[in-house]
Amino acid sequence: MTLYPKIRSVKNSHLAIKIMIAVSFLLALTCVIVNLCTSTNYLWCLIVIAGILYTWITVMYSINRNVNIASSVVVQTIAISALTLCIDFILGYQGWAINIAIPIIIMVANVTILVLTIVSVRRYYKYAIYQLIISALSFIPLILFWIWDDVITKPIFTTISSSIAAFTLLMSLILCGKNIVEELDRRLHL
Amino acid sequence: MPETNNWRRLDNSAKIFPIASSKKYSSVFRLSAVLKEKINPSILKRAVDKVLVNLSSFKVKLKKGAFWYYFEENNKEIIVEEEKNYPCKYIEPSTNNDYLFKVTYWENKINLDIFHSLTDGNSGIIFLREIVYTYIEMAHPEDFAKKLRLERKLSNNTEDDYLKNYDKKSKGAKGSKRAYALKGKKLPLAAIGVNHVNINLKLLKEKAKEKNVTITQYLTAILIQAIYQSNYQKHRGKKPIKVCIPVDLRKYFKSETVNNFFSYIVVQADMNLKTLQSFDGLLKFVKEEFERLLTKEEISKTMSANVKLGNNAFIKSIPLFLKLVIVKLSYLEIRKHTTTTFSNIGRIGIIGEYQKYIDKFLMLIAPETVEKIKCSSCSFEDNLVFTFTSVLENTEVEEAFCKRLKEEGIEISIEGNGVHDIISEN
Repeated sequence: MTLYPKIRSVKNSHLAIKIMIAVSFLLALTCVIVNLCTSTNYLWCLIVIAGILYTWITVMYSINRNVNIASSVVVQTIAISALTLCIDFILGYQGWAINIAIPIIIMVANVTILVLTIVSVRRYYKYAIYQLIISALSFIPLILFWIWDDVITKPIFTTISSSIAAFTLLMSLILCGKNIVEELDRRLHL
Repeated sequence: MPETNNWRRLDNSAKIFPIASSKKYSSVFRLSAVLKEKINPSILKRAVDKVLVNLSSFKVKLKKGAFWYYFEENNKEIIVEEEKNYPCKYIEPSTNNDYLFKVTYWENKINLDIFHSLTDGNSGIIFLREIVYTYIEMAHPEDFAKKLRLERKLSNNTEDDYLKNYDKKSKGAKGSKRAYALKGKKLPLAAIGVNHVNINLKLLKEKAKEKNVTITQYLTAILIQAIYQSNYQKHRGKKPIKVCIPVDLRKYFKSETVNNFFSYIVVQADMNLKTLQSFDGLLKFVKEEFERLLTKEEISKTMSANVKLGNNAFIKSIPLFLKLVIVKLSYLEIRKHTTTTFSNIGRIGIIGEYQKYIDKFLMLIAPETVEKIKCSSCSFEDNLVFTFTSVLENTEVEEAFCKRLKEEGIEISIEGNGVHDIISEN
């Protein structure tokens, strides 16, 4: 009888990740070199780098088996919004990201959370905190519009997305208000 | 089981572990029961499921709040699998259905690896004992058909007894200085070497009685001397050898909690003092230190200082992401204040009819980059198992420890996980 199994070699489970990091780095470096050698009028390599970073955020978050679906919605909302803003700035800022893309992303996020709330009212406590984060994020464009009127030049999409966010929050409070209070108590306990 | 939103706060000690832990500093301890028969995995799985119905306080997962972590009820299946890795490794919740303990088996042995946030060694033993009792009952229904063990009253009390018992007026304990850190080449590939020293308890008791000391005091003195002779002298150590001894607070305060409820004392031996260079002088010093530090007042002082820190309004209000950075950095320094840890959980009592199925119990604590060797012990019937877990390639401390025991006329035998055999084979 032996007390322990023989562990002669330990598998390096992070080898694939290390290879992927090296490939990403090489790809980004190649794009930077090609971009700088061919034309410096606009730095398209930055779009590639932003795309690689977005892919990494998505992959690393998705491979975690225990991720809450609502937290994925939050991460994707932030990541895609940042990506669109980056692309808009790299292409010579025209404001399409903040005026159109981000409000559409916010609408999709709110509708997704609303669907999650309706189909799983009993498990809503799992999503409550993410609902509140998305609601808070959703009103940022509207606040920006109120503070600096030159940031959002076409407020129609912002108005629609903020209205949807307010409606989603109201629906959630009506359907699962108690859960939201409990979740806040749990998450914010000192 | 329907999904619920049950949750509870972490106790005062438990708060620190998820913040300070990492793959290199796992904060995991292992309790094992070696039976006299091969383990049947399907029976073990059923036994663990049954125990968890009664000990529901262990059925939790760790969740992040804005300021602190907290426990939430976990309704996922428990995973019971064959032992494949080194003991006391970091428990990755995502690969363990979010549970903070891991049940594995190997031949005749049932292992229970527990993340320290969940509980301490004493409550861990209650959990393991229940698993072992239930497993034996299920594996030998004929022996227990008539006389089924009465449903034992198992506590699921999860009160934070630190808060109940700390002294608000107590002045903080004195600050400590760095300790001697064991030197030597580390094992490759994050391996952990395990060496169990089986000690004849009767002879050990006689020897300790002869010297007028307790078993823990006697073993602590041998351990300090082993470190001094095998590592300290060779590397010309200057700082004191400090051994951290966890203390079960249930012996000093009334408590039924299954949460953590322990404190510690630190025996500091300045080996440059001539009086400590003889074994008898060292033993006398260790005995006096134990007697000085193991009083309710001294223990309360250490416990209260820690509780007051965790209860400080400013610390409480620091967001968790900042706590993670601050605590991890401060822990890099705090861990340098002890050379090693020695935890003796004492005798493990087992009901008569079950004893014939059990060979022994083992306890292991995770070593790490600073405290490269950790020691633990527990006893069952006439055998005390003193366990070294180490990340060092050499076994000089272990060898010096065993040599001393033999010189004292105490019978020992050694078993291990083969890591150090592989090193010496190469």
